[in-house]
Amino acid sequence: MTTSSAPPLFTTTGSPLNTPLDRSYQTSKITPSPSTPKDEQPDYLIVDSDQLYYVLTPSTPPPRAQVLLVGPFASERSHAYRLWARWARYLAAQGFDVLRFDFRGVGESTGAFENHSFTSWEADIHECVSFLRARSTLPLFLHGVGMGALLSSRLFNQGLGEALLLWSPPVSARAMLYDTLRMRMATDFALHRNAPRRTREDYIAELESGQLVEVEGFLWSERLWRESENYPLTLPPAVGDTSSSERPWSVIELDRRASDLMPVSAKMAGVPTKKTRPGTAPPSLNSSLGAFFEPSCAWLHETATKRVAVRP
Amino acid sequence: MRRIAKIQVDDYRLIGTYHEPASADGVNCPARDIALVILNFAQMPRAGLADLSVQLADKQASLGFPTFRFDMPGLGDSAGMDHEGVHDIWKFTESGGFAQFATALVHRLITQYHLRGVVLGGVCGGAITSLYATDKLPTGVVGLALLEPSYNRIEASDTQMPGKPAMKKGGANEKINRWRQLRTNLRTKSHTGGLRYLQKSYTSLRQALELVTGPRFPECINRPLVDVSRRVAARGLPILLVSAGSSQRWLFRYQVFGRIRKSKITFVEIEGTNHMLVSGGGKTKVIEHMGAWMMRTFPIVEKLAA
Repeated sequence: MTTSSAPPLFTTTGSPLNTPLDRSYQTSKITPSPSTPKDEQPDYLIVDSDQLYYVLTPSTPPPRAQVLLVGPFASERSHAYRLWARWARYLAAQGFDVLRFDFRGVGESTGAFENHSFTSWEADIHECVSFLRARSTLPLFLHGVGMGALLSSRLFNQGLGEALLLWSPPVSARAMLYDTLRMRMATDFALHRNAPRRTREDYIAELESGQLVEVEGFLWSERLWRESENYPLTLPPAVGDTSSSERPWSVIELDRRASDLMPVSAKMAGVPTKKTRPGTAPPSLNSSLGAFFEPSCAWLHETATKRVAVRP
Repeated sequence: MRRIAKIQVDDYRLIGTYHEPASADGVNCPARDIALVILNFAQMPRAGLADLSVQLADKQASLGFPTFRFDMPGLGDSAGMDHEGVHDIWKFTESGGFAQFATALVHRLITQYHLRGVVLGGVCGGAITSLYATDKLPTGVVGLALLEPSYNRIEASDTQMPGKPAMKKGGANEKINRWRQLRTNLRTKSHTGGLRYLQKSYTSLRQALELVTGPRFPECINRPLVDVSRRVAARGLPILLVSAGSSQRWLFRYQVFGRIRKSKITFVEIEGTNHMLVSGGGKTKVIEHMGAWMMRTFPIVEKLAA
């Protein structure tokens, strides 16, 4: 792994038009954010001739640990991006150096989506971990959401990272893909109402025969589908109080499914999200995320404190 | 090759990606002096939904056009502005709120890169911002790539949102809705051929009348955007207007742009895709159309010494 040697293209300051910006947008609903991190560092790692995009958000106070954020599946990225960026900045303000990145073939990273799959995305996580290890000796925590939770839990079991925090992990990669295929059928229904109906099994047959299938604008490959077959969620064994064990971990579900999904885990926290009936509230970008962020951040704080305490 | 681009506009630091011009096999090719700038659509990060903007930029860079994608404040990696909800971003966009940042961006890129000009564009909100910004800039923008610009006001859909008074029972709206429901139900029956014929005739007659009497936009149309579009088109700028195919769009296009003599607008309709142009192969088609339009509209001209 190497970091991109080219310096940022340009950084200039000042208002280019010599006229003040129109501030009339500063209404009660759109306000400048005072917590804008000025030193957030977007850049690339070079991995197998591809560029792996990352954003490093350094901690505002002296850092206590490093957190690697492992994002969701490709089609969820654009919808989750804002939350993910805000979460990174929130953690940075609480004393964590945070790195978030795009998997190869997705978002700002180069590569074609259809040429990548779970194994290459695992390699991306390894690259990011190497990068963080090289820049600091602070403990490194893995934190994944959705598919990111699936990948990071597997790598954590293989010894990567000192702690693991998962948000809404799917039960397996296959289940996640199977669920996402519904979006393809919904699109078919919306755009081609009179065309013969196709089922998920039809699309799966296409994938298994080596064809590419477009789902939400991404081309799924046979490799993606095949690799998902043996990719269940693998949680570490739950032994006693996992937050005080050598390598603590925690799972937070975003609804009340937690106990139904994984009743064996000793460290299962369910964060009840406020549910509204569809159509009764406008989609909110900045709804209060305190109930969501705080338990996760508190757990990371607790874990970082204990790790410092057990250090020689 | 992609590089990070950062531009400070007053208190706001805009984060973007620069796609260096290079042919598909990675060999550098002669850079053109016209750059493409792709702006955010709605609340999406600069990569766009299903990475449409990324792939558009890669294609244009492979044709020799320096291409930039930037996050506006509060979107993607550019911090600095907190929008309370999606609707607030939409309203802010449809009123041209991001245009001031786009104009600053255009000015800075032209200076920094010794460009002859830029083509502004984007999907939906990106197209809207491009129109407003171009209207504010007398020079600098040499073309527009408008992908599915939305001319509907968000307030129009607010009528379905909470906080609005419920539909009055027995009121005119309810009666209209019932009539619509009845009409929809009847459409599925085979004996409604006559009704359908009448409906089609009425629509054709109404459209023909509007051609003669001039456009009558419904309340839901963003009139300031229509006015801006007309002013920009009247300047004779090359404009690519891509829409997700619909046979009903021609009248609206005519109403907005039809009477402008100087306009150089290329209309493209892509069938079988959605508003975001990512499903049903829409992504591939829009990338092809845009590449062809850029090559046709901005052929290679010897770059002036920087």
